[in-house]
Amino acid sequence: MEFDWTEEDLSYRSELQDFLAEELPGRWEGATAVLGSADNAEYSRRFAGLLAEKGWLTPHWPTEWGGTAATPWMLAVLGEELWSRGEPRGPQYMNVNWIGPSIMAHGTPEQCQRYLPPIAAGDVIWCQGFSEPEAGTDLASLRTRAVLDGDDYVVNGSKIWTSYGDIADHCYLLVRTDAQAERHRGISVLLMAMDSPGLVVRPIPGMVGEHSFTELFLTDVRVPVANRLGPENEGWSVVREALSFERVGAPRWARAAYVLDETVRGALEQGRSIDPVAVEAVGVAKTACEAARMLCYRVIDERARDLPPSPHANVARVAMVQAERLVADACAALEGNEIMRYGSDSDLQMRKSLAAGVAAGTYEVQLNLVSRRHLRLPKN
Amino acid sequence: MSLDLSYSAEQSELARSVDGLCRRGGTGAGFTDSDPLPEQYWRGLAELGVLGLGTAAGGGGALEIAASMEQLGAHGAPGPLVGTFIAGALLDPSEMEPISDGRQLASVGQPPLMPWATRAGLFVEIVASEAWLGRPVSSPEPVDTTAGEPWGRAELERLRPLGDATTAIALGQTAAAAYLAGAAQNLVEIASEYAKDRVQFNRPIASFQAISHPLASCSVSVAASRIMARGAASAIDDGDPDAPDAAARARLSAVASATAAAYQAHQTFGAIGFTIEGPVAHVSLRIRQLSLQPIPVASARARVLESLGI
Repeated sequence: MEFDWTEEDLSYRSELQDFLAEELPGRWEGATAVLGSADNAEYSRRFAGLLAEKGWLTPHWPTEWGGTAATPWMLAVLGEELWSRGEPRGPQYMNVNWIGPSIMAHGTPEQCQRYLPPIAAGDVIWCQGFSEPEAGTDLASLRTRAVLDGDDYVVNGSKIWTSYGDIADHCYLLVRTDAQAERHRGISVLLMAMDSPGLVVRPIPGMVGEHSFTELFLTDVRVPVANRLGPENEGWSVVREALSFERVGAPRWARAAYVLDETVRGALEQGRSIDPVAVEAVGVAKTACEAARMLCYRVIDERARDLPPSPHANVARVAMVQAERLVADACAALEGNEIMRYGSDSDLQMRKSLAAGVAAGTYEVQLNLVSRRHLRLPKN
Repeated sequence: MSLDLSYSAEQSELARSVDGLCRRGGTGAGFTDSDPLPEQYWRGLAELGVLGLGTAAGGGGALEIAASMEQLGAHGAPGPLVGTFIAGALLDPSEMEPISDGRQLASVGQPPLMPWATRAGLFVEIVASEAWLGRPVSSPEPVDTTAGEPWGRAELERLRPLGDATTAIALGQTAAAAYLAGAAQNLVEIASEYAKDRVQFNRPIASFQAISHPLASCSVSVAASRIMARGAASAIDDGDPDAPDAAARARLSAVASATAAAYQAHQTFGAIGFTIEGPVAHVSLRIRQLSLQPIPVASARARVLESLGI
């Protein structure tokens, strides 16, 4: 067993930290308060461009598509440092983590040529069109229909809870292309331009950011057949594969740990009295962050060794939700006679912790997967 | 011992009126409009006599306050409610008149961060169990809070000591406990209703124990919190020497059950729960804030430990 960072990883982290210390203060910190706002989006585009120039936007991609074939550990370092600072890549972490790789794995040469270079350059925003009003956790029951008409699919339906739908250039869209087939078998992935006629985007004000969600209404939207990713009706396996590592691709524990450290530092600096309950809450939360970190590393290790996705990813995700909530509780306890101020780190952490068990797949479903796959308990 | 946990007919009537007022004022998310304190709603509370409860002029006591606060909590209603009741227990009726009438707001807390400071006309400083009538030295620096309330940072000049505030604080703890219990009760109810209607995997999600058990567990702790808040209110009205301890226990119970109910309501409602227009977000943010302040929850813990000799 080797349980330590390599010299290369360490120097990469340190270089990255120096860059962030130089680049972020004053320009990004304010924008974290309003996720999805125009300021936030604009800064993220500029920041992703800077990362691309340094070769840090898509380090794990093959050199052919603008990467440096870096190890999954370097990608993990990048994710930790950026998430801890509030993810200044904005929505572009999705492009880099799974949308790009999914296009690489299933795209035609033309699709790769068209979509990958802009992602690697950091000047394009994608959103994901997954959930529908009646298809949330039960995603496979989605009903947005795509019917073949000549060289196009004609798409009708609606999507909801789409983050960044109002600022995205493209959408990784799940549609039903065979209404008769078993529900997992009639789904396809379409790469849809967000300026397509017939598409209306409505922002839904949320409690985590001003435009944290949008709703997409699709009326006779024409998407060329050439924009279908992967075989028709095979979309479910395409997207499952794309998202298999994504449970740890967004290291939310790193943000929680950062907020906890900063909130403790602030309380100590201001000489605030910290009551025993807060002291214990901080200890518990810090430990939970460390647990989540280790469980994420187990998944990254599998990836580094090219092992297939395993239930360890579900375990890591559960631990991350727990850590996020415990940090929010600890921050609340730490604030003492100060109340949480709107937009402060602890306020945002609290808001995110409320969403932690729902966003990107519910906590309950993850527990089901852990009980079935990890503990081998029977279904029902 | 006799134990009557139900409100009297008059108290229930008051609760119904408060419920009606909140419904007219724009239920739930209606309160998240750009104005953090709709004037019509606050005046309405004054007209019902809620803002003068517990004062010599206004009549009523802790039980009337608890009955009103359960309803206000159920709607996630805004305003410096807890501070108003604390002020009412400390100040002369003449000083309270503009507050009870709804013409002025009371800011009650521990400086420098004071509730509703940028809008308040009357300031009460509370440190440990002592209180002072105060006046900001300069205009408060605005601070927006988690629940969207206009607080402010201000240094207060002490104008007059208001003496021992133990009973007033107990009333504040009880009022906060009743609000939190009402908020939690409502969240558990609406989440249960939603779980019966929402179908995923061809079944109502309520049929999954992953959904129903946590809601059931929340309903148990919420039931306890409601009883404890009413019990504390009754102890205050009876002048029971245990009242401050009972109020502290009620607050701690309500903080725990309301925090758990908010998490569970979010889990049950899913994404809808995070929308500003939805039924959960504004209540869960208010629960988080009222769990901490305006009377620090740490003071309730200290009180309970002290009662045990720790």
